[in-house]
Amino acid sequence: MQILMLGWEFPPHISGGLGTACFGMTQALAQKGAKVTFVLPKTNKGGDPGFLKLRSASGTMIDYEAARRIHSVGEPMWKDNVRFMPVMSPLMPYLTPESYLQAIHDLEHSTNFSEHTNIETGTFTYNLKGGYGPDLMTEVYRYCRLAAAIGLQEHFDVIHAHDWMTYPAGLLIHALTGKPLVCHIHATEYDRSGENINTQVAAIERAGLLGCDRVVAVSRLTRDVVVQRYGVPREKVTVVYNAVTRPEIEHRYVIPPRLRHEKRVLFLGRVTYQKGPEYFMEAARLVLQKVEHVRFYMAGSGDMLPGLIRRASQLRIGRRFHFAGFLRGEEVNRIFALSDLYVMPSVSEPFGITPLEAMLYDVPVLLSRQSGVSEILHHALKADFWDTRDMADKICAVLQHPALAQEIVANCREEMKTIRWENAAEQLISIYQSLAGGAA
Amino acid sequence: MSAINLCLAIHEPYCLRRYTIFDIGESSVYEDDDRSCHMAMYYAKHCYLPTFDILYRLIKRYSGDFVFSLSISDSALDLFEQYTPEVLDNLRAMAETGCVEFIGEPGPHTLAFIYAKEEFIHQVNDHSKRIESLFGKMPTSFRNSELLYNNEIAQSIEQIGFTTILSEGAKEILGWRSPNFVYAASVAPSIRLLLRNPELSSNVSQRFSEKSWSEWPLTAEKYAEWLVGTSENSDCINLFFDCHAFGLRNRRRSGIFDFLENLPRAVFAHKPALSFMTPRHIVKKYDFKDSLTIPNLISWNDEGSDIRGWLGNEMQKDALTNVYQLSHRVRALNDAELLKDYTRLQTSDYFHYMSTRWFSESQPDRPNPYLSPYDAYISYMNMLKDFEHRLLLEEESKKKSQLEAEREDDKSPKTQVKSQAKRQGRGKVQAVSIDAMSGRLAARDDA
Repeated sequence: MQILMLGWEFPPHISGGLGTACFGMTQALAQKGAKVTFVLPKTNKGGDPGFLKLRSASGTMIDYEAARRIHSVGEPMWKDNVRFMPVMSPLMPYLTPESYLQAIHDLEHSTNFSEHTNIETGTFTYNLKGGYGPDLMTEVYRYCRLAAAIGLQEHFDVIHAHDWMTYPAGLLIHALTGKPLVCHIHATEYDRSGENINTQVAAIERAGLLGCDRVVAVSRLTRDVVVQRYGVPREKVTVVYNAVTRPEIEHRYVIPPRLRHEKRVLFLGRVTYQKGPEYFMEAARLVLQKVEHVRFYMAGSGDMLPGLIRRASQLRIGRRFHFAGFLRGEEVNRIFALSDLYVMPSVSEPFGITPLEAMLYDVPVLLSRQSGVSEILHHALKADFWDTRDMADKICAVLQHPALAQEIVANCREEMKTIRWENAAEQLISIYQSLAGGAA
Repeated sequence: MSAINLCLAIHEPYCLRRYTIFDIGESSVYEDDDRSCHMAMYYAKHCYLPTFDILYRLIKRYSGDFVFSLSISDSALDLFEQYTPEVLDNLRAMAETGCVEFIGEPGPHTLAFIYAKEEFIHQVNDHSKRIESLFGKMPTSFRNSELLYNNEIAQSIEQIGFTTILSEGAKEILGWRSPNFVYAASVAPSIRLLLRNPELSSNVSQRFSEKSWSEWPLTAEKYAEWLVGTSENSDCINLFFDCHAFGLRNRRRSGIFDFLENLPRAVFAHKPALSFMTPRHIVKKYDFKDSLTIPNLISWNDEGSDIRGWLGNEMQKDALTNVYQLSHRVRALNDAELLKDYTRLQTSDYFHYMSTRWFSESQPDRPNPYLSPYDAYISYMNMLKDFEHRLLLEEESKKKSQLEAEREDDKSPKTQVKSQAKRQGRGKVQAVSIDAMSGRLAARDDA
């Protein structure tokens, strides 16, 4: 079974939640014997993990014949489905009005037009930057054409596209080669933006989800969004839960003696509307009325951070509520290991992999019921994100009753044994096989 | 020739509400009255009223030949008194026929024996008195909550004055022996043991409406055949059911009520091999076959006859230890209201809700009102904290009034005034808590 996988992130090339998921998934797929070719917008030297073939879309030469085919199939498809014209635009996810202005400014002063044409052979290519730059839409459009050129070169049985950035490419290769297309949805535009969606992104998402052969959603929650918002038939959507890979080297972190009489409660994630940081702060305020010797840590950055720092000072809880900023690598492990409770109060979370990471460090977790991961974690504490009293009550309970934390951790550890990428890979392979007609 | 010992257990817990840390000291209402009322009415309609109706008719029809025993917990009696008095009327009517033997138990349906023996003895005695005042006869047989049993229980029960204990015919304790005989407790020679026949009992309570079961559908005639088959080498067949088996675990459409109605007729067709008898008469008629030594606790949990459902994890142990630590203080204070709340808080179901095995083994007829065992534990510990606060306040006020009494010992008619003051004081506390509660609600609205 050969898979052409289209993705926007892959560690170490931009390693958000999407990249981490793609890594674990492809690794497990490779162990099950699937041959994966992973097309990224851009790869750096030395990033090849060895278990798959990593290809960079950027710089792939498109010859005349390929360009003609891509154009003849691609252009009508845009007009019918996406109604999308490439324009210079600084649109990107997670952007606020202020940062948008900044991005516009950057765009006007940038010289990143990078089309390269070889006059003699009639071939041409684009250079992509990868990531979520200001001209994301243009990048998506170009990635689509470059990936299509790769699709015409490679041999594969199934196309597997991750999130909307790669759906146009997936659709185009699907139309060019007739190979079945699986669209994997890690987050919908409605999760990222609430009701104020980017209509272009939503249109691409809709076209991809409706035009593919099978949709893979990361949770029942996401499946319901896809069914309700985009009218995708329910039977076309399969739920495959994400998992987490246990790190091989486990560093032991020792709690500094001066902090041992205290308990630490952690929020880790983007400080944006989607992640519900203000509910965390409100719960913290309530907890601090009842319990002493507790500190709250908010790790991450985002557009809501300045407002929340002001709010913390207004509430006069600054002495017990700390902003750790954006943490990476070792620092993340350390703060997980030192925490007594991890809270994920997300307003909308298609899956949410961080609670699983917290559980790797035997930290009890409190999840919002509005998260996909709460569907598979029976032994986590759960609260509705808006019910900050309930959340605060549960935080207090974990801090005050060692028996509770002990029981949660013991049961979660058992539960973690069943949350494995191997299981996800098995599900995916059976999807591939049903689509490819047993061509394995 | 063998005697069928049919025993129905009736127990309903009060429903607890979600009680948060912010309720501590502000509201001491632990129960969800609406839900309790709803459950009581629902269970009465689907289970107790139709079942008792049939039983009463059967008693009348067979004039004295159809006899059985009942055990009823205090909380069930309270719920019936409060919400469905007609169930209680039915019970009284059955009691008057003399064909029903009432069984003693630790009234509030608790695990007190494991943690606080004195508390346990109080509860058993109080329950016996209540049964006597309601139904006119002191119980002589005893069954512990969830059929919990071991040697020590036999000793305590012997001291209280019972003659018989009903428990589970668990394989681990019987080994090659059959549950269908009377046994004696080796540590308490005057105590007779009647052990449930797990196979025959759960064929009705667990498997009756299971269509995949090879013996489905089970008719009264078929069941009577099995009983006859068993009777050849046995003295008594102990069939103990949770009353929920009739109408709740097995719904009306499964034919369970027809089964019950036809059972005596089918049994009497095999006269004289089979007859109905209650524990009181069985232990008089049959001598014991063997003495049993049972050091480890057993229970009637259908899955493993052990106590893991109530004592299987750290949360349950923590909650139980904490609640029973207060036993001496509550009993010493002897305040009616605190005592009522205290015994209610010990109901074994509340600890079962904390079982983390619950995700796989919840019984639809005894639902867990909490979304998870962790929520159950958190709520419970908050309630216990509030209760402890109240206990402390009451202890202090008692100490204070004792000191006053000592100081003003020679002055004469003070006692009346004192008790009045105390009553007023309690009213005040309540008023404060209501104020605080409405303030809290207002604050919530503002938010």
